[in-house]
Amino acid sequence: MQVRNLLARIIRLYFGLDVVSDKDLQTKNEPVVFFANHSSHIDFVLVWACLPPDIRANLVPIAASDYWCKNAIRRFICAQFFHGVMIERNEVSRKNNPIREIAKVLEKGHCVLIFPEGGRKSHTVVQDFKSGIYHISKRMPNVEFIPIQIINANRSMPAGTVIPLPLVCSLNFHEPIKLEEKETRQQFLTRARMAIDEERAA
Amino acid sequence: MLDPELFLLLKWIISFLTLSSLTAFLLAKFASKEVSQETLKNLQSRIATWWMIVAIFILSTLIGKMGTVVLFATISFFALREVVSLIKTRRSDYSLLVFSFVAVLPIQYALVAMKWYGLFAIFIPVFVASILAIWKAWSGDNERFFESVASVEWCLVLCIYFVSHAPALLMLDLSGSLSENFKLLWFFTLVVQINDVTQYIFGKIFGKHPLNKKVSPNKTIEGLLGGLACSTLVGFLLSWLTPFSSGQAALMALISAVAGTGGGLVLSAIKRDAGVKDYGTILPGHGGMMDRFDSLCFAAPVFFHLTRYFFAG
Repeated sequence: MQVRNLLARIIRLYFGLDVVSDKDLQTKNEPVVFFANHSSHIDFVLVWACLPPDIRANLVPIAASDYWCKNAIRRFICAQFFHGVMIERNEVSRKNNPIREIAKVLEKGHCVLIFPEGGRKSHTVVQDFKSGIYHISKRMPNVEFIPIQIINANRSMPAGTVIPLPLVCSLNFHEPIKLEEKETRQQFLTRARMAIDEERAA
Repeated sequence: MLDPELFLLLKWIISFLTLSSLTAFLLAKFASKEVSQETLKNLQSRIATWWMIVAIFILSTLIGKMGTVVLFATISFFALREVVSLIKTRRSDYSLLVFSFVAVLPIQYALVAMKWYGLFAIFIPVFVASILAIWKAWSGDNERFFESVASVEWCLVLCIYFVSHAPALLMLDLSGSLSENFKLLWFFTLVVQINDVTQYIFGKIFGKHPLNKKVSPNKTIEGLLGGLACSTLVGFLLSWLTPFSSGQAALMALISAVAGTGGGLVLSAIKRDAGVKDYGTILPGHGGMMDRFDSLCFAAPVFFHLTRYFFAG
């Protein structure tokens, strides 16, 4: 715990971030799904470092097994240090249905972080979302989805690089959204994407 | 390291800060409703940050040359990250920026510590400037080439090259011990900062005519004149810290204050263009590092070269 808090502090210092207060998050001690734009490896670490300590301890990252199981270092970082849950995204079958895996984590009372664009994108524009978050909301209609807009992470450490530049990054936590009645898959995904679209920052 | 004259100066600075803390406290207690609570809060956190800055500067002076070089390298580091975060860079600039943080910044300050004036003066404008341009061309990204090379290089000039001229005062040969150089550095820093502070105060009290509405809405002509007058006066009164005569000290102070004001305008223009009010939050009440050291950044090279040309052996 100590090590993790210290690491979170160092990360916040390095990227010029502040802890997000509980008040800003408006969570009610229930499992929530955080979702964010994805352009850099540091995305998850930034969110992890900024959350209030109790939520941070309760946060489970959802990671693609094809990437994060590739070698021992990645496996250690993802599974041992951040307690990540691996999901399959290429050969999905009844047995390894990722939605069920995520739902299981939520039912245990954990919060999860999802990057609905899929992999890391170099575009500054937020790409179309995969439908995972829609299926989760269908399955668990009471779960809130908190949009997080991550700014500058792609400039600090673009895909394919290993040294994070000490740029000032910022995270905007927006109002939670929920699947509304009669909302179609496309409507929900578009609404979710709009919530973290770069344009909103301006 | 603390020479008696510098000690006297520090006593004055600390008394002055104590006085301003007291004034701010009394203002908060007895102010009429005309003074907005927000301005007072900001004033208090500004003063608290001033205490912190002064404490860190004293500490670095006590440590000596290395302490001071590291202090200004740190200021450069924070300034650079703030400015680079604001401007638009391209994916192909990434490796150039890594090089800037990892190599250019430490090398420039190492040159200051080594007193290698010749290379210090040309390292960034000649070598780094050409290396970065070649590197960028090599990377094969032609899009907006001139613009993006120029942005990265000018970041380095502003945040590293200019700022490093302040600790470079320590490498001048002022026909005396190193403590003469430290006194000169304090003189310079103080004069430039006094200009900022008194411009702010005069602007708040007498300010009517905006200096440049578009770039810096808080700067007024009244503030500017008050600030320049005050810093010239302070320079005149503090000539005993320097190798200058009283008149020369006043003139050096005036020139630094003018250059500093210019720096303030330039760095304001950069942040207005990016659509932000402050460079960051690292210095509560002031904003980012570049909000406080914008004027020092532009005044340092002018002050350094005038001193070097006319007063250093």
